[in-house]
Amino acid sequence: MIGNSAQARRPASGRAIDRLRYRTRTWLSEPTIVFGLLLSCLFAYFILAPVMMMLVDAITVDFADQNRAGGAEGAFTGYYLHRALASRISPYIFWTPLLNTAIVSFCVIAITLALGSLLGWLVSRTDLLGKRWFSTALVVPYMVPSWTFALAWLALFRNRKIGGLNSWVESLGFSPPDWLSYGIVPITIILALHYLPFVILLVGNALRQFDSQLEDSARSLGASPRIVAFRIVLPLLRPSIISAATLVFAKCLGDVGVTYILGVPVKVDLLATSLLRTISTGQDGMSAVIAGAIIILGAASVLIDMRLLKTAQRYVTIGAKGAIHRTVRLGRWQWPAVTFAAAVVFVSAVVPLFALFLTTVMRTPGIISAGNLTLEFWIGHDLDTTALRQGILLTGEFWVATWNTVWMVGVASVAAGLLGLFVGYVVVRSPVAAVAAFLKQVTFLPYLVPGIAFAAAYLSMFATPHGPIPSLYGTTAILVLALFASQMPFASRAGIAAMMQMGKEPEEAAKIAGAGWWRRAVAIVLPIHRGSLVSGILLPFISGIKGLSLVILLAVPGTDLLTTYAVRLVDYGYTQAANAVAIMICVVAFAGTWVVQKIGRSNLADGIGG
Amino acid sequence: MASGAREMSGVSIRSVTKNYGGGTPNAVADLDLEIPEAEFLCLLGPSGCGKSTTLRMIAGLENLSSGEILIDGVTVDSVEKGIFVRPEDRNMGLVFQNYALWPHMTVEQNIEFGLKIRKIPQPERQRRIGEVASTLGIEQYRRRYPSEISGGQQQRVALARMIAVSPRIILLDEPLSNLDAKLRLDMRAELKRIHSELGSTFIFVTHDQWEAMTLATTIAVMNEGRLQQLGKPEDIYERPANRFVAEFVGTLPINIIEMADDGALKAWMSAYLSHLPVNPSEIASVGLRPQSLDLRPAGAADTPRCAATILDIVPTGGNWIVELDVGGERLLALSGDIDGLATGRQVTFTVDRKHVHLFDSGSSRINVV
Ligand SMILES: Nc1ncnc2c1ncn2[C@@H]1O[C@H](COP(=O)(O)OP(=O)(O)OP(=O)(O)O)[C@@H](O)[C@H]1O
Ligand SMILES: [Mg+2]
Repeated sequence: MIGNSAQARRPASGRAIDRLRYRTRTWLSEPTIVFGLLLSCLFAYFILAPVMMMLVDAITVDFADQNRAGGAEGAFTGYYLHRALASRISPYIFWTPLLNTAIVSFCVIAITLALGSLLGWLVSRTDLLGKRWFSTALVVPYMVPSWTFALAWLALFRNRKIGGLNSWVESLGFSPPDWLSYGIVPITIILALHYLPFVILLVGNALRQFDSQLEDSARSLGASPRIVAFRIVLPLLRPSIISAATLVFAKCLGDVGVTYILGVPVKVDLLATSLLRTISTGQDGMSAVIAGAIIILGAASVLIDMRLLKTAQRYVTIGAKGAIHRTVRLGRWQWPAVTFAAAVVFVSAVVPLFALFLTTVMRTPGIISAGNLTLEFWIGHDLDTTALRQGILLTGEFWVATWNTVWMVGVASVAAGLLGLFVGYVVVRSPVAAVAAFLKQVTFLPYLVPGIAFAAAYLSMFATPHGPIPSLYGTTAILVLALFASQMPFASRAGIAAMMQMGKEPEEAAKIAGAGWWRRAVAIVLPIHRGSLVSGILLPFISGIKGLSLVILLAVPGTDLLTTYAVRLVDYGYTQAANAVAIMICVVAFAGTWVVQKIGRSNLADGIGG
Repeated sequence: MASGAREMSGVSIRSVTKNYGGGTPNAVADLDLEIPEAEFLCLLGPSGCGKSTTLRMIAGLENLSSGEILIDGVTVDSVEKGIFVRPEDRNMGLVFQNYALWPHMTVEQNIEFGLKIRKIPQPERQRRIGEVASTLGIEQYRRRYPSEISGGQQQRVALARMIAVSPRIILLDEPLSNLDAKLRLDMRAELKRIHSELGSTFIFVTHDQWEAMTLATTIAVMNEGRLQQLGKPEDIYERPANRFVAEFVGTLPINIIEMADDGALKAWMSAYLSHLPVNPSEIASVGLRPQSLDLRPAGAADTPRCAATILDIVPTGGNWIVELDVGGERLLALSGDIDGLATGRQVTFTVDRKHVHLFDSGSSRINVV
């Protein structure tokens, strides 16, 4: 009767082989592990392999370079590394763009941190008038594609150097100097305006959780407000400031549209546009070296950030309970503060969007008179242009591009959202820890690879036939696959978070009720996660619609998306039409954001960097 | 428990050990349990003793580290033979501690799910849903979602969902712990009724001994992953197999007299034991339940009676807890009346020999024949 006395009768257990056999039986009793292995293969092929292929391209001889590199195709070579880093042309192809990238990102980070921390503090901890309104309005630039700002800039400050339409400033009788029209200065200003919301959101969120008692206790120990600010508040904000800085850095590295529009016409390159050029001129080995450099810089910054965050995580929970959130009274600083915030909204959102819009309804920019206003760029017929002879809304290619955008980004987002959930499922439930860990890491990889470099990786993998898979260059498949893969980091993180939150009981209850694996997936797991699935699809959808860096290398005229179509119009000099397309993209992105916020399951800040 | 057990229906747990890995101690260690058909077994023990783990292994939600489990004579788990039957093929009912209702389904759909899986036709499904809903008094909530009903109602839905498929084996993991006192009483009666109606085997996990005593036909007391005693409720109370069971079971803590100590109490106990047919050198400690102490005002202290002083008297509604002092050692007694008793008074007490629990140095029970 008593358990202890039964010990003597204990069977010869503990045979490792028996345990393993039984374990395997339990693992295989449901397809989670099989599914996990399949997903691992899928992502190894569509994420890991392209990046690896491209990195290999940097050190192996390309078919076209057999003579110059002095080796057979595929042999190991230092030729490209040497050519990119230490040859006569390397200043143009690598070092100057690198220096430009460094200057631009440093300035962007400095500007966004200075303005963003102040604004983040104003909207989170003070009695700023219209605080709620400001916290939405200040985020608008993030919902608008970065390169639309560049178009707006041109509309306002273009000079005659390049030709094309008059800008507003010119119409008003001034001739803007080169440095203001093109190059490093406008690129920096525009990237700073576009990424300012990151800092506002991240710092604002951190400050919102910050406990006033920490400040109070320091004060009561006799610390002056200055000491409190520098010794208490700043160190505690450090994690989110560092996070914001690395995020902005990674984005600057990968952003190709702004520089393409404002730098390339005057031969100012950043690494991203240098990569674009080497690819479009077919120098695979060189582009692999540059893309590799971008990946290393991007990955390094994200990894440093994660390392720093990990140590910071130990003190983020401080003050979670019973925290006091005292609002700072601005007093006589109220109006200066409101003016400042309003000015930022005005410069970063109102002016660009308004300028863009007005350009599309004016024959000559900047002249507001009844005779100059027109809707012909939207709905006109028989325009006196060479190619685009009707308004954009009547142009077939525009609607093809719109349809392409919606279905390609849509398919990619739905696939990413669903697979993200399944990845989450396997990561949380897999009985084999290695499969879970691999899936988690591999789906996160695209996050470390800036968009343009990821596209380059896709080209090096899929531009040539591999086994049963034909060359995908110029097909819609390569676009959908690249969009899908690049959305996996966000999708899988959302999936993992959702699955962790659910707990295993609802599914176990379904097991007990007799439901098999598929039945549980369809009747229990998916419906329970409907909400997070919707936002897990919509958020990437929105960022996919406005994204340019990833698709600019992969789209061809037949497979244009709205963004690449707009850039093509810029290339041809159809400024109004390009601006009209940009506005349409903003409309779609705003509508999408609005839907996501209505559904209400997700916070915009969660989607950052996704 | 020999070869004949294979034909036996019910649940057999044989030398089952469970270790969660990562250097943790065994959550369940070398557990042997035979649970005959139609039994109402309570798994009783302190928090963390492995009750839920045992239940989840029977359900197939947790795999074993060694040993085997048979259900109705069929092996569903065997590490040695490499057998594992999936939980969905075991045809059991399980009510989770937090109910685990499906939030996206109405009460009715929750109950219907298991019936659909068993491919029961629509009219029959409706009939059964109506039946269990009325038995458990949840008819008016049939179209509501779990988030729209109270905790007690959710608990009924969880029971209804499980009963609707009439499983042969029903597992309940502390299903009453989230309810208020009144509802607990109701549900306890409900469970008893369902048990007698369905004739299924019930395995009920609880750390509440009163629940166990009132519901169970058999109680299995566990501690630190090991089975301490398996027996009828009165056996558990009256013949605890070891000191752990004696101390864990009982509303008032049992009085333990360590025979290695010195003092008046031990001296009296030694004298008392010398009249019993036991070898005094084997006895390491003696347990006396407060209820079994027979108190008298003053009188002579002879061998069967021990002199004590009353330190305190605490009323507990009908009964009194009397705190006694015997030569500096404290003892609790429970008394039905306190005529002639008051704080500071001298009293004597004794116990009936059948209420004296003797334990050896390994804390196991020594039976007095
Ligand atoms: N998934 C798990 N991983 C690791 N250890 C676990 C896990 N589940 C339970 N344990 C450990 O196994 C032991 C037994 O746990 P179990 O849940 O069976 O206890 P219990 O008797 O049900 O307790 P309670 O009354 O608190 O529910 C505990 O020490 C617990 O910490
Ligand atoms: Mg438990």
